[in-house]
Amino acid sequence: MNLFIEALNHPIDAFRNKNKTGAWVLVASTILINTVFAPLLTWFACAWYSAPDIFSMMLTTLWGSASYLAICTALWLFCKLFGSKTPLKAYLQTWSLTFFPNLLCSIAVVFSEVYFTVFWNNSIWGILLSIVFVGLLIWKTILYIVFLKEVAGLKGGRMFGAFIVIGIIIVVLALLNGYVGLKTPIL
Amino acid sequence: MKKDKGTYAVLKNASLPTEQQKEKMLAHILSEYRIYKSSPAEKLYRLIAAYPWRFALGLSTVQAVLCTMIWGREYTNLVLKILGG
Repeated sequence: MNLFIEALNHPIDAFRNKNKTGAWVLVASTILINTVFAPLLTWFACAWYSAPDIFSMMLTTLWGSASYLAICTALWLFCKLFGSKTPLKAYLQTWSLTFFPNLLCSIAVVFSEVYFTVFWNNSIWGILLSIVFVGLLIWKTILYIVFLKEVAGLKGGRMFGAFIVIGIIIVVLALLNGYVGLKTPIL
Repeated sequence: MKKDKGTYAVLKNASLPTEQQKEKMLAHILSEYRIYKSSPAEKLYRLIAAYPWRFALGLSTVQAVLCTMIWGREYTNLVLKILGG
């Protein structure tokens, strides 16, 4: 539990300690909520929906894993171009520690989508959900900057350059994630 | 007496930190040093990097309240439409 609290509250220490178990649990949970929990909840909540297809669940799980590998490779490649000396293995082990916002976002997306009619046109739920969604986006951006500084070891103009270039890659990969059915990007 | 010295040497070596532990200690000392000798921007970065969710949700609350006051439900529906799946 302490490992998760460290990733939640002190990301710099978490990046330094490289807790592999906690990191993989975060990524696996995010993927499974997207690919297994979301279709099951939709099926249970909406009686007219057909039962989820196990093959498509497995396929989107594979796409989720591929997306994680793709973002780690992109981070390693572009950070290397901007002067980072960190090996690919370190990116694979530590980027997953930035997945707390993704995990919470996937849960919020599932519920907001399934119970859409409850939240639509409702001021109180609307404010709460906009705090959650925008907050998680800001949180992930902070972790992205901390990651570039602490793990990739980039500073100043190099960090800014990498932030912009990898940011564009993230937007493209997020669109591809949406295209294959991953509503919360595994990035 | 010689045997005793050998035993002490084994105990002494066993209590010494490994290379990995030494690197960890050095990284910790350097990070502590950076906290004391840092610019205002670095201090702000440290403040946000410790408990990043606190800063993110705080900023998000301000934007949500302000934007809802200005645009009303149109804004909350737009956020739900774009980010809510």
